[in-house]
Amino acid sequence: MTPDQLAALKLEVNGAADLAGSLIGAIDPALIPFVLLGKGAAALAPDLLNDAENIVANLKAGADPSQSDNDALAVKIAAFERPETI
Amino acid sequence: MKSKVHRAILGVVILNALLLLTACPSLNRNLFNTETLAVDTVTGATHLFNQYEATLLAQTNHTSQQSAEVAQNKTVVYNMVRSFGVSVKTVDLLRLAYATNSATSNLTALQAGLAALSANSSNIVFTVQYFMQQTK
Repeated sequence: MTPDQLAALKLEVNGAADLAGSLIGAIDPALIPFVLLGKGAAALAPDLLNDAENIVANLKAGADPSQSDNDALAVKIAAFERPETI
Repeated sequence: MKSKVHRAILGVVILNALLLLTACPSLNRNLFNTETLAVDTVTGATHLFNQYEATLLAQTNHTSQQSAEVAQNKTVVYNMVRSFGVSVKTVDLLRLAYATNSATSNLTALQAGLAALSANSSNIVFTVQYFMQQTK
């Protein structure tokens, strides 16, 4: 995930939390299920944001193996066919 | 108001989908690291055994019995290493399939294969150490 994608994700989360806050103030009984949903989203938002940031930190620590990484591993594996050369 | 609610629901759904998607690469990296660790362990053990054999046979005072033992042990170790090579190649193909399309790959088989690789690599190290202690 790029920094731009993370920023977009943060905007989505904050947007959902803001919207949930405004929904909680609604008084129309027909909207109660949506108000409850909004409360749930507001409660989830901080956790989701933390998860997203943790995932980004993990990705920075260890990105997906590149093609050259895969090729290097394949060479090591191929060497097992002739152990005397190791 | 309803459209805002729908947007909120959609936002949460998209968030979950994004989190699931971004979780895949780190798992691929973890699988790759575990596989590499097992491969490097067996490579190290094989190299150690080869060095040991070369050193022993280079000594002018080694007995014919020692030569025979080393040759026998070499057959055992090499068979284990070749067998490990076949297993790790299978696991590597499963991992690459997972990296390409995680939805259709067999993650259970991949995890079981990795666990077996880890155990096999330890066994090879133990066997090499055992043979080195036996042939003195």
